[in-house]
Amino acid sequence: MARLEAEFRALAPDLPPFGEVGYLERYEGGGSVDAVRAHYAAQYALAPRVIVGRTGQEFVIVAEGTERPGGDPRLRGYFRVAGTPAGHRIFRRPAP
Amino acid sequence: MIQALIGLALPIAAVWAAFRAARLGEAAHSRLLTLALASCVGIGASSALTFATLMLGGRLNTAFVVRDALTWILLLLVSLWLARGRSPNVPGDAFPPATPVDWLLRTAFLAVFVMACAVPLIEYSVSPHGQWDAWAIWNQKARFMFRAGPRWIDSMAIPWSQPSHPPLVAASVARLWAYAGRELTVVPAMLSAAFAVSMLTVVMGALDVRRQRAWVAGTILIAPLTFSHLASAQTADLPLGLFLIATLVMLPMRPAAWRMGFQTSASLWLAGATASLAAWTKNEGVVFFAASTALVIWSAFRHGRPRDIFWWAIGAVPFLAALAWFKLGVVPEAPDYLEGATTLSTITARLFDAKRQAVLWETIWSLASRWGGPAAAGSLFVVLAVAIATAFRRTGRIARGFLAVAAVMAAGYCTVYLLTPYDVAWLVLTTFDRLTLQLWPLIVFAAYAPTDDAKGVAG
Repeated sequence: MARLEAEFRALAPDLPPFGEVGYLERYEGGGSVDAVRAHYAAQYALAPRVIVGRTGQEFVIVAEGTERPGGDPRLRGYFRVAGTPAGHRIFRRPAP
Repeated sequence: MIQALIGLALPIAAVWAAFRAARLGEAAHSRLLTLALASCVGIGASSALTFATLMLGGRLNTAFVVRDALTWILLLLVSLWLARGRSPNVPGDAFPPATPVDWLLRTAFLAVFVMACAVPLIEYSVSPHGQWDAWAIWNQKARFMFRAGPRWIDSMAIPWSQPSHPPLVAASVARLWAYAGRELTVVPAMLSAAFAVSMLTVVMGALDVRRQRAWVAGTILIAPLTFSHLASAQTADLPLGLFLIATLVMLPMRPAAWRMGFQTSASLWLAGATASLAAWTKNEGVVFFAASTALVIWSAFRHGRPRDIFWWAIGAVPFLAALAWFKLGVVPEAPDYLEGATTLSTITARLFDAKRQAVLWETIWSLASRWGGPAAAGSLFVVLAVAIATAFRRTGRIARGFLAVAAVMAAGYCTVYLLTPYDVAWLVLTTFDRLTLQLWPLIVFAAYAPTDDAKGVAG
């Protein structure tokens, strides 16, 4: 957990300080313990933002291994704005 | 770290001095117990003040720390001034000369205590953020409080963080982080250890450390690996168990020979405060508060002392007010583990579902027989059997009272298990150890509770 927490914390400077941030659930096995742990760890690391398990927000966290290979339709309209050495990334879409 | 320790010690010292000034400490009949009760009320009161600060739009910054520290220092100085010239002694004689059996029991206790202390140290080195519930619920809420000030209520939108649980633990951690100036992982670990030591102190202090039974009960309390494992978990179950046992030992259920200098009003005031602190810690504490209030009311009318209820209420009101503020002003909805149980037909269907009941009892039996860890498997049944045997004695009034409250709590847990929309086996598997720990000190105390024919050292 400490490792995951440190990895996600590195994304904080590129996110807004408050509010909802999307989180891309794993394209398969999203309910596994590891997947849930990663999502919860992101929330723990990035509080007081609220990390919701869906896309649609201006900012979306794409944790390492969650994106469907070959292009994930859930990220249509988003572009990558930041990433970490651990493979976690932030995607953003232009505010409406 | 030093600043966090000061932040922890200040309210405890101030409340201890206030107890002394108000002669409340005499109700506890033991210096150890008085100190443990001061820890309960001090940590509880400081968490309520932190919560109030956040609700009034404040942030946990340097200004907060200065105000908070000055408040406790002022209370400490005023209390010391009011109590000037007064002997700090509580009723009771000095330690009698120790026998070889005494030394044997104390050595055994020390050995178990050292081993029990090693577990949190090892677990902290592996998991500094605590166990799953610590970082998914309690420390996470503390981060919201420390980082976002009044916007901490955004955390109520996180379904898995159990928004409906009251914030004693989270507010306490956030307050100590404010003292430390940063989010030290050692702070929630230290707080958890303080709760564990306080629980041990309550049990041993109430049983009177001049007696062998206190050392045996203390050893049994901390011996199961489950105890030390959960002491390092940084969750809210340990403080809840602490407030449960602290309340019950302060109720006027003690042998006549031990009642010299006993103040019923002060005792009930303190018990009311710790019972309401249980409700201020976790939702299960509300069940306990209701059960213990019913016990107090029954006892008050049975003995023709309705005024006792007043003292109980006086102690409970401040923390109940904080709880009402939290429940009515912050919590968005009922606990998710009771979701859907809103109609009589649903409740009846879930409660009397034979399949759910079979799964419940089978899972509980399996876990209960292994509770305590590999070297202590079966300890729950053994200690429970001793407690029941004590309760069945004609003079086992205290054990009966403790077990009655534990039974009401256990019945409440089982009701929730049956009413939950979640898989019953999963919910029992993930909570049984923690919920049993809440009741463990009650069972241990009941097993070694003094009987009505006991000759008190003081008496």
